[in-house]
Amino acid sequence: MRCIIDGRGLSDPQLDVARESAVRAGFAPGEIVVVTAAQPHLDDSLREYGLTILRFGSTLAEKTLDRVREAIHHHPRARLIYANSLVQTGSDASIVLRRVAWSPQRALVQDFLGPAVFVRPDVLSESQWELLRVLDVHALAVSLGFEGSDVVVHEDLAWSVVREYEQDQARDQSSMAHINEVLETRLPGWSVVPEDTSAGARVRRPVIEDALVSIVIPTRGTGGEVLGQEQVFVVEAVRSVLASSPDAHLEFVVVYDTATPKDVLDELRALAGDSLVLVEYTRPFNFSEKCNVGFVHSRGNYVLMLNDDVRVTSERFIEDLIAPLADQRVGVTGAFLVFEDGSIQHVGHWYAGRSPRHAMITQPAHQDGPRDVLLLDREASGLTAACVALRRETYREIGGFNEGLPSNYNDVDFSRKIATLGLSMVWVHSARGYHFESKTRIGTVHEWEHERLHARWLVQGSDPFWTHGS
Amino acid sequence: MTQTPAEESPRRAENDDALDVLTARVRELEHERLRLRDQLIGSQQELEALRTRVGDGDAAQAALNAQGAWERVEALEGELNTLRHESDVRLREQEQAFRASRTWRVGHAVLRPLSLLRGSRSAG
Repeated sequence: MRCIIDGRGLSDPQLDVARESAVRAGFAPGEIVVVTAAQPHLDDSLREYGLTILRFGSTLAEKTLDRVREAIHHHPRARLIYANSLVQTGSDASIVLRRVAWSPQRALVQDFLGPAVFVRPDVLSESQWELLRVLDVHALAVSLGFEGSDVVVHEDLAWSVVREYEQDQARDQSSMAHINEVLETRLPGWSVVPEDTSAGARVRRPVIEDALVSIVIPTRGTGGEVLGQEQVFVVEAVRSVLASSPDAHLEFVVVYDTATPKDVLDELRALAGDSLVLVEYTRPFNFSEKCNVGFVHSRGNYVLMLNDDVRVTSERFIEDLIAPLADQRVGVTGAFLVFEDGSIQHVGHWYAGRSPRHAMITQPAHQDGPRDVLLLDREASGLTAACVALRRETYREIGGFNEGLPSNYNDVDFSRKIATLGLSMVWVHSARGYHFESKTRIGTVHEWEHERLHARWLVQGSDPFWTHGS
Repeated sequence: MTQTPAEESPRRAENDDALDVLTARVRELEHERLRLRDQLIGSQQELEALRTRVGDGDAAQAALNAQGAWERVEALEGELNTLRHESDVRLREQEQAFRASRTWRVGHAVLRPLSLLRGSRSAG
C-alpha cells in the first residue's frame, strides 16, 4: 500500500501537514509519495500497489490505513473506494460529512468523492491507468462506473479531515475533457459541457431517434381552478406535453373512469387525434391498476406514467426525460415538479425512517440546493409516480405498479423494485412542470399501507442519496 | 370463385370482431403477467426482509420471535415456489386454451396472409 499526496499547488508547510497526517494514518514515511507540479505524474512502478490518494490539500484521519484495509476486505470487487470526511468545527470538535452513495449520472458533472480515495491500479485498463497517472480520480471513477455497480463504492466511515464543505469541490477543466473521452466510447453522443451555474456544467444527451413514447394518464376528467383559470386537468396535461415536445413521437393512453364527462373525451380526441388511445376503467379507484391497464394498452418502447394534474412547463420535456434511458444503468427518470405556488413538490424521494418522504418539499424551487442538487441530474432513492419514464421492458420486468397499494406508496414500492434490478432512479433537473397535487388529492396514509410497504421493504435509517449537505 | 361485396362484409365484420377479442385477450394475459411478476418480487423481498429482521434482533427478542418468524419464512418459501409454479402453469394453460379457441383460429387465419406477405417482402 502506498499513500499518494496530490501536492500540486500546495505550499511546503501544507505538504508537511499532509505528510504528518499520512504517518498518523498508519503509513511509514517510505510509503508516502508526493506528486508535485514539477513531477505531476505517478510512476509506472506504483501500479503494483494499492494506492490511497489524498487530494485537495486535505489531511487523512488518524488510523485511516486500518479502515482502508477493512474496506478492501468488505468490497472485494471494488476498484475505487471513497469515504466520508470529518469537518473540523473547533479545536477538538468535528462533525461527519457523509458522502452520497455512488451516483454515476451525478458524477458526470460533480466530483463528490472527497479528498481520500483508494484505488487498485493493478486491475485498471491502460486508459484508466493513464487517468490515474495524472491523478484525475474523478474521470477514473466515471470510467470505472461503467464496469458494474460494485466497482466504485462508498465506504460509510471517515477517512479524511476537511476544514469546510467547499474544500472538496474543486473543478478541473481537464477532468471534463477526460470524462468526455470516456463518454465517447461508452455513450456516443453524450458530453459534459460547461454551464454558467454554480454546478459549472451539465450533461448534453442526444435525442433517442427510434423512441415511441407512450404517455399513460389515469384520469377521472376532473377540473379545478389553477393558475387563475378553471381547467380540466387531463386536457391541459396533454396540451402542455404537445406544446413542449412537438417533434416527439408520442402516443397518449388515457385511462378514464366511466364517469368522465363526454366533452372531456371529445376535447382529448380533438387535441391528440390519432395518437390518442382511450381506455375505459370501470372498477373502483386503484391508481396502480389504472397504470397497469394503461401500460398493456400502450405500444411505445418507452412509457411515461403521468398524473393528469401535471402541467409541463419546460421545453423538450419528453426528450429530456427519455434521453438518460439510453444509459442501460438507468432504470427510470423523473421530473422537477413544483406546486402551484412555485415551491418544491418533487426533487426525488427521501427514504429514512418509517415514512418515505419527498426531499425538500415546499422549499423554494428557485435555489441551487445544497451542493447544487437542484442544478444537476442525479440519482435518488425513489421518484414520484406522478411522472416517471422508463423502458418498456423495465416496466414489464418489475411487474408494473403493485395493485395491492391502490393509493399511497405505490411509487415507493415501484422505485424499490427497480433498485432490485440494479438500475438507478435519475431525477432530471431540466424536465420541469407543475404538479397541482394539493388541488386533487387528500394525502391520508393508512396503517395497513405502511405495513404492506414494510413487509416487503425494510426501513432504512438514512437515505444514501441525501446526506448532510447532500 | 369470387365473393360479392355483400358476401364479403359479414365475413370482414366477423374477422374484425375476432381480432378485437384476440387483442383484448392478449392484454389480459399481459396484465396477469404484470401482477404475477409483482407478486413474485414482493414475496422474495418479504422473505429477505423477514430473514434480516430475525438476524438483526437482539438475542432475547430473537429467541422469542425466531420460531414464529422462521415458520413464516418457510411458509413464504413454499408460497413463493407455488406462485412460481402456478404462474408458469396458468400462463401456459391460458395460452393453450386460447390457441385452441375459435377466436384464435379465426384471428390466425386473418393474420396469416399478412404474415406471408411480410415474409415475402423481407425476403425480397
